[in-house]
Order: sequence, then C-alpha cells, then structure tokens
Amino acid sequence: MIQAFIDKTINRNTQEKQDVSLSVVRLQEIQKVLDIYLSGLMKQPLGVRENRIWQEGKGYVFGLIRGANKQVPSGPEDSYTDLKRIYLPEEIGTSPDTGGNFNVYKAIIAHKYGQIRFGSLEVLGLFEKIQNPNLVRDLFALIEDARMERRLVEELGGLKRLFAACKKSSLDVRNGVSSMSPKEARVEALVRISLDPKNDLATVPDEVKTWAQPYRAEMLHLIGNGSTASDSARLALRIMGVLNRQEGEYRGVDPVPYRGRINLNAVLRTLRGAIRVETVGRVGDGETENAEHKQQELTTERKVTPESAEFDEEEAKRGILLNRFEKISMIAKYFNISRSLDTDEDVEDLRKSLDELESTGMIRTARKAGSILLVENDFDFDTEAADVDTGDGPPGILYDEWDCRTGSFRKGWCTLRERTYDRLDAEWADHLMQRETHLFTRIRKEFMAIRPECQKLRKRIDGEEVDNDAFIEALADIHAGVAPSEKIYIKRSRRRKEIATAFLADLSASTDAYVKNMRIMDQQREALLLLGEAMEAIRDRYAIYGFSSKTRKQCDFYALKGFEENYGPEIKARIGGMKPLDYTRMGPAIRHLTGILKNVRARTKLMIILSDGKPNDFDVYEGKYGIEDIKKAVLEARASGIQSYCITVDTEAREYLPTIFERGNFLVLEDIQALPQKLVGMYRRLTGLTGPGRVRS
Amino acid sequence: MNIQREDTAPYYIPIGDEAAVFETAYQKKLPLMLKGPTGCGKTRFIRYMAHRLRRPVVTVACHDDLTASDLVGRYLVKGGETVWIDGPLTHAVRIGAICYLDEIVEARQDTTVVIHPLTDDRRILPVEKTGETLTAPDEFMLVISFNPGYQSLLKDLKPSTKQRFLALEFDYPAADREAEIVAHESGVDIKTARSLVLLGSKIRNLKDKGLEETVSTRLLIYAGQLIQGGIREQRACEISMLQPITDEPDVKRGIKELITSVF
Repeated sequence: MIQAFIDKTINRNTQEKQDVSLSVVRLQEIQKVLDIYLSGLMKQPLGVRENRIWQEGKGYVFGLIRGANKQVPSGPEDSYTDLKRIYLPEEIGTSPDTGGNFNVYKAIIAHKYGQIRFGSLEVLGLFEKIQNPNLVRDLFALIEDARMERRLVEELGGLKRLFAACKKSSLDVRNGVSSMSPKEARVEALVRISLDPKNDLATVPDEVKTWAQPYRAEMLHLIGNGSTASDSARLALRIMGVLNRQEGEYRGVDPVPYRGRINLNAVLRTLRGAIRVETVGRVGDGETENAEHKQQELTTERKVTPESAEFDEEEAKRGILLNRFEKISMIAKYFNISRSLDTDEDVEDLRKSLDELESTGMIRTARKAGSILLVENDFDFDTEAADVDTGDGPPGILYDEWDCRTGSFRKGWCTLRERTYDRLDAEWADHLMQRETHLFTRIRKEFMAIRPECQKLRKRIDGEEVDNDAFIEALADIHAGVAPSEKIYIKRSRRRKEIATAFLADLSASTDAYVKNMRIMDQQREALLLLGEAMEAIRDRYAIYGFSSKTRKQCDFYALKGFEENYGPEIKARIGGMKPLDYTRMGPAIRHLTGILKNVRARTKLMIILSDGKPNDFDVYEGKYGIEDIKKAVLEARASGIQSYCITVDTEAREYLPTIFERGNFLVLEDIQALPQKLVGMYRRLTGLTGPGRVRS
Repeated sequence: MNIQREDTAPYYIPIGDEAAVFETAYQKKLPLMLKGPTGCGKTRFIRYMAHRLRRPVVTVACHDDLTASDLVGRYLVKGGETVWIDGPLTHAVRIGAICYLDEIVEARQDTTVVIHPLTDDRRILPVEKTGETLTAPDEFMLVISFNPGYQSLLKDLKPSTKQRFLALEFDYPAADREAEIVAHESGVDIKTARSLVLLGSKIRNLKDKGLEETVSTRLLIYAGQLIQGGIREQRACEISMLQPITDEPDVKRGIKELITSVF
C-alpha cells in the first residue's frame, strides 16, 4: 500500500519533472527557519540538549530537526518524533511550487508540536502489549490526529488554512479501495473521515460506508467535546476489536504525508526513560496545567505498563545508561520538574565524560563522576597522578581557586604560565580572507563607516573648536555674575582611548567538535580574524588571548595579540594556528587576564570570553565547582572595573551562564555559522557604536 | 519641560502590590527605581500613581547628551537681561511633583550624580549657579526607570546610584491580563487580543535565540490598533511585531510562520 503511494508520487513527479526539480525544498536551506518556528511554538524547545548526535568522523551534529544519521525519513509520510527530536526528510518535492513544499515542512512541525502539546504520544504505552500493533496504531493516529488538530487550530487559528490545504492534497492522492482487504477498506474509510468529517466516501463500497457511519458520529463527538488522547486510544482499541472479527489481513493504508507516522518504539523508549524520573517537585511557571496534566498521564502510564520498569533494569544491565540518562534529563526538563542538584550533575558529568571521550578520540582517565563508566570500561581512576606538576617552560604564577564546598579560596591552587603561541599557520588566514572576500570587505567597510573619526567630545577644557552650547551657557553665566565653566570646547577624537577590550578564546579539546558540520575551532578562528579586521578598521584597543589547561598545575595562557602588538601577518598566523588543546579551566585564565587589564589605562575595560561549553579539567573542575569558581573570578574582575561578557555555542549554556554572567551579558549562539558576525556585532553593541558619524558626548 | 497632570485616571491594571509599594515609598519619602523591559507599562504606572496621589509628573527622557544643567537649570540671556530658568528636576522639587527620569542609564554618568543628594534623607538639591539649596517638599518623589540587560555594557548604572533606590521589577503581564490590556487599549475584541498575546508569547520564546529584544505589550497594542484601524491581521502583526524587532532573514521568516500559524 505504501509502495502504491510512493509509485503514485513518483509518477506525479515524473510528469511534472521540470517543475518539481525547481520547486524541491531542501531541509538544509530552511532548517534555521524551521528551528526558529519550532522554538517559537514551544516554550521548551524540543531536545536542545538531547539531540547531540555523534557522527563518525564528523563530531557532534546538532540535529534539532534533521534526522539522526541512521534514520533519515525518506519523505514527509515517514517523518516522526520520538518526543526528543523531530525527524524530517532531507527534501520535499511533492508540491509543484516551493511554497507548497515548504508548507509541508511547516505542517509537519506544527503537527508534531500538536502531538506533544496535547499529549498524543504519551498514551502509546497502552498499545505496548498488543501483539501486532500496526492496526491499532493506525486507528489511533487517525482518530487522535483529528482530535489533536482540532485542539491545535483552536489555539493557533492560522493553522486551519494550512491543515485544510494539506488535508485536501492528502485526500486527492489517496488510492482506491479496490485492491484492499475488508479491514483495510474500513480503515481507509475512517482515514478519509479523519481528514474530512463530511467526506462522502465516494469510492468506498456501500457496506463499508454503512459500517463507518456510526464511527463517523463517534469521532465527531470525540473531536468536539474536549476529549483527551486516552479517549482516542480507547476508541481505537474498540474499533480494533471490531475489525479483528473481519476477514483478511491488514497491511496498512496510504499514509497521510503531513501527519507522518507514529514511531511506536521510539516514543515508548523515550517514555520508559521518563517514567523513571521522580515526578515529585515543583512544577515551573508557564504551562503549569499542561505539565501537571502530563505528569498525571505519565503516572497513569506507569500503572498501565508495570513491566516497563523491569525492562529498564535489563536495559541498564546491558549498559545503555547514557541513553536513559539523556531521556531522564530531557523529560524532566521538558516537564519542568526540578530535580535534586546532585543527580542532575551526576547525569551531566556522566554525559560530559562520554561526550568528550567521543569528541576527541583521546583516552583519558575517568574522573570522579565517571565512576559509572569505571565499572564498565575499567578505566584507571587516578587524580593523584593528575596532581603532578607537568608544566614546563616559564615559571608559573599561582592563582587561588574558589571552592564552593568549603566556601573559601584554595590558596595558590592553580599554576598558570603565560606562553608565547608558537603554532603558526600563515596560510590559513590568507586563504580564508580570499575565500570570504566579500564578508571581510563588508565588515571592514562597515567599521570604517562607524569609525569615530568625527566623534566629538563636548564640553572639553581644550579642543579644536568651540562648543557653542557651552559657550553660550558660559556667556550667560558671566552675564549673571556666576563663574563660568571653562569647558567650552569640542574635542575631536580619532581613537576611543577609553575602551580596551580583551578577547579570551577557549582552546580546549572540545573545540575540535563539529556543530552543524562546522568545527567550533574553525568558527572561532574565523570570528577572531574577522574581529581583528573590524578592530583595525575602527582602531579600538584590543588584545586576544587563548587558554587551555591540563590539571590545576598546568594552566596555559597564550597571548595571540597583546594590547601593544600591531595587527599584521604575525598575528594572523597565530590566529590561523589556533588548535584545540586540552581542558577548560577558566578561572585562572580570567584571573590572569584581570591582572593584565588592570594595568591597561582605559576608562572602560571589557573582557569577552569565547567558549564552547562548560568548564572542566582533568582533575575536578566540573559542574557546580567550576561554575562557582568562574563566577567568583568574574566578580573579582568586576570589582576591578572590568566588565565580562560571554559568547558560547553550547546550547546547554543557558542553564548555567545566567548564574555566572548577568542577564544580557552573555549570548548563546544556536547557529555556529553566525559566530563571526555575531561576535563583531556584539562588540559594536557593547561599545555603543550604533551608526555612522554618531556624535557622542 | 514635560509636566503632566492626570485629571482622569489612566488605564492601568495592577499586577501585584506595586501600587501599595509605590504609595508607601511616597509616604516615607523614598526614591524608587522601576526595572523592566521596554513597553511593559512602567510609564503608564507612573501616570496611574500620579493620579492616585494627585501629584503632577515631570518626565525627563534621558539621553546621552543630557548634562547636569539640563536637569538643574541655566541662565539665559533675554534682551540684555539674564534670566535663570529652572531645569525639570529643580522645577519638580519646587512644585513638589513626581520627577520621573526615564531610561536613566542613557544619561552621562556625571549627570546622574546631581540626583544623589535628593535620594538620601537630606532630600536637598544644591543649585550651584544660583547659590540656592532647595529642600524637597514632602510631596516630591524621585522615580527612575532602568532597563537592565539590553543596553551596552558602557551604560550600566553606577552601583552608587543604584543603591540609593528601592527597586520594583516589572515584566510583561500574564496572558489573560495582557489580553485584557491589549483589548482595552487598542479596541480590538478580546478574541483577537488573546491571539495577539499568544503570538507575543510565541515570539518571546525566541528571546536569546535569535532575538535580543522581543515584543512588548506596547507593540501588541500597536498591532491591535492597526487591526482595529482596518489593516489585515497578518500584515498588522508583521508591521508591529516582526519588522521592529529583527532584520535577520531566517528569524524573520520563522516569525512570519508563527504569525500565519496564529492568524
């Protein structure tokens, strides 16, 4: 049956081949748009933290919407969600125009959002025990989709048009019932009713029509009276009971493209993980009712499938721990359930350890939190070894580290060495600038335009011209017998001496990872190079530093460009030569940079940190400990009059960055591709460069 | 100078205890800071309170050229004579008004210092040039507004200034309230207002995810007014809730899809 559908689609495609090839919409082109769309729909975006998919040789892929490498849906009818991700086909070309094809994508997203919003998938546990669930799954889908879509368009009225168009085109391509078994013909009739309650079932035999009539009424009733997904499931089970008495087999009916399919196993796997979450605790703000409702449904489900817990034990024994933890944290997050911090961190740590092992292919000793791994993988657990001072080169500077567990500093805990960066790559920068000529030219021009050449400093004690306002005020004062102000000049300043900015780049090994097919480090290099160009155009004072660590005894700090160094081939070669090194112990680097900035004469001092993720190190620097230390370091910097800002590509950062930086003082980039331009844009915003020729006082 | 007297009560729905806090601060002669995003009702709240307390409001929209003499006053030459002209702050002190310094961070930092003596228990305003020292009457109240987070780092409020004020935090109202407000202010029916608020909440979900600033209650009201004036819903939303907040093509397109999903 599905084959027939595909054949038909292909036939259509060949007929309109000319048009179709032009109108095909590729996911790649519109992924960002769909991403924004889905994030707007959902308060808690689907699987921001769950969909790190590891791809051999490619690093991480943030497949928010794109399917995992193993299961890329072949067409819209094959799209599905496992409550963590939405899996979409690589391209859609069923409609003769691009708009139509885009709309299919949009409809799929809206439909999946509806399934999640209105709890469609959370009752699937009911079908777990059923031997051959295809029939009941299809029945449930056609009933539930009609119910859910009704609820959805009540909320989002604009989707009515979209769904109506999709339903119509879905009905248009459906096959006749002639080759169907009695069972299939009946399901087909119900699918048509689901798509159009008033459907006349034209090509359906009379007996099927008569059979379907009462169910039409029941479905209409169910759709209209505010029923829940459980009601749909019950009706589906009942109809299944009736159909099972019919002759013939059930091989499935034509899918409804925009509704995709229900992937029973994938959903059940997610739900099983979720059931294990302690559902105690506060329900967050926002869609409280909804969350409560969901919790309830989950609890119900626990009762329905008591064996699911056992299954999980088995799964755990087989060592698929990561998977489950992922689900727990995802579901817990999705339902706004607060967990105890420790558990959360353990899970995070475990994930992190695994993540990193994968991301670099290096073998490292497991840390405390990796003890679960320890059992499995028999790693050495030896932080003592980590304590050995392996540093070489210049004598180190000792820095304190904040220990949040004792609420005190560990004196001289970290050894930091300032090193010259000697890994040079002179060609990379030239190469990139050639390839991206357009971008570089544009940025340069843009910053030239806002170069504060015409910056006028009003009411100065000396300057090139008289400040008329100040002068008149002074005259009036003299007239009134008051001592006038001497500040009656306008001074033109070419260089905003009052601003000094230091950029601190993360050189940890994790920058070797790939996000959306782009290596974080490459984006960082590009961003810094672009920034260098921008800064040269605007002639602000800046410096670029990099940091990496290997235990507290070896924190390395690299000057890529000092404040007094001139931007040139040498600096470009250093930026080009930036390589992922070791770990991310950020505290000492910030403290050291604070020291450097303290000695810079400027009224405003900025520290902009480029990061790719949470702090960590070979010895303990994860989770709360590291975050608290960084927070402390940032506060120390602030006390010295240095403003800190962070830009990161780690989407999980939204959870911990607010505790370190004030709101608005960090930026989480969803799209790493945007890093170079965002960084430059952010600098502009931070330093108040808003437009060409702006007069500032 | 912008002096407003509220003869009729401005439309305002209290969300929490803000009115009580304001009144108490007024009685106890304490300065107040209103924190919160643009367009969430801070200015309306001031007008509402001014009416409740029967005081005029002197509003100063702060900008980066605002100098101390702009606030305090200056001598002007008029036909050979010099005349002292009170600045808005001085005037507010003299008449015992509520002085509202809107977006205080925009002002030069040396300017904000002149308000310091007014904020402690002395409640005085030294006017250097005239040699006067004005003591604020009981009816005088100083209120500043501050939008944390979105301005540039160069424009953070000095801690020494911040610490002189009590601070009330404002945010966009809850959905039902906001719909009520949008309906009232724009004149659209409550159903349309609810849809506007729903769309608003969807766009606000994009905060920090492609959007630095999101849609304010004010923008929702603008959208409502356009719709009320006969502009098609989708177009009205585009003009008021999409174009003003972003220029990025993908984000725009995403928001457009949200608009067509709601309307």
